[in-house]
Amino acid sequence: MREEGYISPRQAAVLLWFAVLPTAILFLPALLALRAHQDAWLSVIVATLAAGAVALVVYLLAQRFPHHTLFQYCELILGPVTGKTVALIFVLAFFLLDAVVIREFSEFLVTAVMPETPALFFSLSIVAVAVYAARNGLEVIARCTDFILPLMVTFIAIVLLFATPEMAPRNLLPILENGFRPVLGGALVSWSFLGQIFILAAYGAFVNPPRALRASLISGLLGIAFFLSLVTMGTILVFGSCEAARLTFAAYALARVVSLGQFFERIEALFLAIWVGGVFIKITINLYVVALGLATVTGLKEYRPLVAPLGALNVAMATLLYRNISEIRHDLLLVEPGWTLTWQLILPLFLLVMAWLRGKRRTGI
Amino acid sequence: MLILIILAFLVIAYLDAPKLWQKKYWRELAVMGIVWSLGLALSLALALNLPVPSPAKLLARVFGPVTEWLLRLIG
Amino acid sequence: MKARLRLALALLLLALMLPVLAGCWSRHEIEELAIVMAVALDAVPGDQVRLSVYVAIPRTIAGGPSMGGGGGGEPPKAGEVISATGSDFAQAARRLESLVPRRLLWAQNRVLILGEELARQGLHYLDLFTRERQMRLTTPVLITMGEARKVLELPPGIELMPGTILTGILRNRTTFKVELKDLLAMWEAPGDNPVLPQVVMTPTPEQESREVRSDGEDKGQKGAYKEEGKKTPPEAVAIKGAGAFRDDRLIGWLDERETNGLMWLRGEVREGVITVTLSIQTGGNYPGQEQGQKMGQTITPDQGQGQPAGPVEGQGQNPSQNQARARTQGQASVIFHRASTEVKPRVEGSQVTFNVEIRGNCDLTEATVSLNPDRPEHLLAIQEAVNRAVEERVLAAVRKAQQEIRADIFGLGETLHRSNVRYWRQVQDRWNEEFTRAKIQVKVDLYLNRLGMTNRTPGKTLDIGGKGATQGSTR
Repeated sequence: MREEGYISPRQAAVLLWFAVLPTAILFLPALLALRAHQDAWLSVIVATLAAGAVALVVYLLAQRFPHHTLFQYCELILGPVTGKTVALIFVLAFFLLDAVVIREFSEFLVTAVMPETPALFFSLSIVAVAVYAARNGLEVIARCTDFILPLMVTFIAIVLLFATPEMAPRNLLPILENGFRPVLGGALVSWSFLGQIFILAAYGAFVNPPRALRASLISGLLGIAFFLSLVTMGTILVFGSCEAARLTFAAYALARVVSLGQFFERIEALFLAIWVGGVFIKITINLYVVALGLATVTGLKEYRPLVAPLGALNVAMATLLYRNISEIRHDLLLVEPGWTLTWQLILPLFLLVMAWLRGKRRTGI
Repeated sequence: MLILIILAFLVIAYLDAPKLWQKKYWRELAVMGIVWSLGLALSLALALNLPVPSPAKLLARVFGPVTEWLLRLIG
Repeated sequence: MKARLRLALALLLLALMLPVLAGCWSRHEIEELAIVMAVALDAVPGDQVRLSVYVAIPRTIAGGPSMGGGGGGEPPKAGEVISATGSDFAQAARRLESLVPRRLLWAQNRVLILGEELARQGLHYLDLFTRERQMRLTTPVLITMGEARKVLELPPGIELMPGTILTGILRNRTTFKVELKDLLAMWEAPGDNPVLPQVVMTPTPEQESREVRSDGEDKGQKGAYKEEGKKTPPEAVAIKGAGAFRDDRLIGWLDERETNGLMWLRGEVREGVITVTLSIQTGGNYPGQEQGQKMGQTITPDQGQGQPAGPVEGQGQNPSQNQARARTQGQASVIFHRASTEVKPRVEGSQVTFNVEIRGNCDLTEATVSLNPDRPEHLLAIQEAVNRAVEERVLAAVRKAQQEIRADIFGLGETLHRSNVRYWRQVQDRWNEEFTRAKIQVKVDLYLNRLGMTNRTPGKTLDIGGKGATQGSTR
C-alpha cells in the first residue's frame, strides 16, 4: 500500500537518530563498559563501521526498488508466498523491537523516577500517544522530530559540557589494554542498537527525492555514532569503566552528576522530559512501520485501522516479554546481537543477493 | 482490571471499525479483527495470570547460541 | 444518535483520565516530607548497623537563622538527629520511617559520614546508597574516628545544618573531596585503594565515648541526649586528616601533613598555603644593605617544617642572635592556586619506580622573617624551602602508606596500569604487596613568582643605610 506523504532526506536522517539513540544512550554505555571497559567508545565506532554494512544493503535495495518499501520488495523479489513470509518476519521483528523499547521505557521510569506507579501505566500512556501520532502518518512523525531534536541535542550537549569538571581523561587509558577482542565484544552489543537503522528500508520509500537516501543514511549513521560515542565516552570519563559498568541507566546517571556552581544541578527531571519525547518518537516510528508492514503483507488499502489494535497488542507484549530488568540486560548482552544480526543484516543481504540473482529491479514508480 | 481491559479494547474497536464497516473494507476489518482479538486474548490471559510463554524465551533459545557463537568467533 | 454516543464516550474517557491527569499518583507534598540533610553510618555491636539521619525541621529553617533563638540564648536547632539500627541499612531506614511522622526524602542529602567501626568492617554497606534511586553518586563522603552519629549532633554555627557546614568546608578546598562515585571508583580500580577525608570534632570527643548498647537497639534521640548531656558537647568540626583503606576496609589514619602529601601525590591539590620556617644567617647585616656581601647573608631553609605551628624552637633562639634587629628567624608562607602532579612509573626488572613531578606557581603571602624580596636569592631560598616542605609531606605520606597501611592509597597502581600494561598484569593480583616495595621519587618544582601587594617585610629598617637601604638594594 502507499503512503500519501513524503519526508525530506534531512527528516529521514533525524528519524534514524530517533530510531536508535533514545534507548541506546540509556542502556548501552553501561553494557559496553561491561564488555569493553575503557575502550567502550571504540566499540561504538567499530559497530558503526559494521552498521555501515546494513546501510549499504539498505541503500542498494532502495536503488533497485525506488519508491518501494521493504515489505513491498520482499514480495517482488521472492514471489508472493515466500515474499509474504519474509515480510511477515520483518513485521514481527519490528513488532518485537517496539515491545522491547516500550518495556525498557516503562522499566526505566519505574526504577528511576516513580517506583510506586505500575509499569503498565507508563507503557499504556506512551503507546496511546504513539498510536495517535502513528495514525497521522509519517509526515507528522517527522515533523514531531523537528520539535524534539533541538531539545535533545541541546540537552545532550549541556549534560556533556557541564559534566566536564567531573571528567578525568585518565579514565580512558590504557587504550586497547586487552587487545581488540573486548572491543569487538562490545561492538557486538552496540551492533544490536546500531543495526536498527535498518528501519530506513521500511520508510525510505517515502523520502523525496529518492536518490538523497544515501545522504540520509550516511548522516543518520554518523550522527548516531557521534552522539552515542560521546555519551559513552562521557560516562566512562566521569565514572571510570568499573563504576560505569555498574550503572543501570548511564545517560541518566550522567545527567545526575551535573552540578554547576550551586545552582545548576539536579537537571535529571529535564533529562527525563526530553528523553521521554525521544522514546515517544522511537516507539511511534516502529509502530508505524509495523502497521504499514502488516497492511502491505495482507494487501490492505489502509494501515490506519491497524495502528490502535497493534498498539494494544504491543503493550501486552511488552508486559509479557520479560519478568525483570535483569532479563532485559541478559537479552541485550547475549541474545539481541545474534537476533538483530540475523534480521537486520543477513536477511536483507539474502534479499539483495536474490534480487541480484533473479535480476529483479524496478525503476520509476 | 478485566472490565477495564475489555472497555479499552472496545474503545479501540470503536475508533475504526464502524468506518471500515461503512466503507465495506472487509479485508481491513478482518486483519484488524485478528490483531484486535490477539491483543484482547493476550491482555486477558496476562490479567488472569495464565501461563503465557514469552517470545523472548523463544528468541533466547534460538539466538542465544548464535550470539554465543559470535562471541566465541571474536574472542 | 451517533454524535451523542461519541460525546458520551468522550466524556467517559475524560472522566477516566481525571485522576491520572491531576498528576497525583505518587505525589508527596513538601509538608509531608522529612528532608534528610546528612547521613551518618555506624556499626553497632551484634552485627548491626545504625543509620542516623539529620532531618531538617522546616519551621526553624523558614524562620531564618537570625530570627530564631528567642530568650534561650542558644541558637535553635534546625533539625533533629534520628537513628535506627538494623541488620542492614535498608532495614534501618525502614525502621527510621517508623520513628518519623513524615516520609523521608533522601534526595537532598548533603553528606555521608562513615563511622570508624563500620569502615573497618567494609564498604559493602554502601550499596544502598548507590542503588536507591533518591541517592546521589555526587554526595561527598567523609569518615570520622569513633562514632559518625556524633558529627550530626554538632550544634549549629554559621550554617544551621551539619551537612551544610561540612559541604561548606569541603568547598574551601583545604582538603580533598571524595564523592560517592569517586570512592567506588577508588575501591573498584585494581590499582587503587580508597582514602576518605576525616571529620574531626573539636574539642575531640574521647574515643571511648562510644556507647555500647548490648541490645543493639537504639533508644532514639532522647536516650542519646541524656547520655550526651553530661559531657561537654563538641563545639565545632574540622575536616583534616584522612582515613586510609586497604581494599574496602579502613586500616589507619593519616594526619594532616600526610594527608597533604597524599593530596599532592594524587594530584588533588587545587589551592593551599604552605608555611615554612626559615633562618637567616646574616652575620649582623640586614639583607639588602650591601650588594657585595651576598655570601654572608644567605637565607637558608630550615628543616622545612610544614606545619604552621606557632612558636617553633627557632624563635627561642631569636633574642640571642639579634636584639631589636631584623628577625632572622621566622616563617614564610606561600599560597598557590594551581599545581599539577605527574607520575611516571618505570619498571626495571622487578623494581617499580614512580617518578613524581610536582609543578606549580605560588605567591608569597606572609613572611614573618625579615627579608628583602627584591633580592632574587631570598625568594629562591623560600622557594627551595617550600619545595622541600612539599617533598617531605609527600614522603611522609608514602612512608605511612608503605609501612603502616601497606596499601596503595595513591592510585599509583592505576598509573602503572595505564603506562605499562604488560608488567601490570604480573603484579595486578598482589599490587598492594608490590606497592610496599616500590620506590617513589619526588621532584618538586614549585616556583615562587609573585610577592603580593608589598615587597619588604614591615618594621624599622635599623641598619646603616637607614631609610635609603631599601632603595639602595634595587639599584
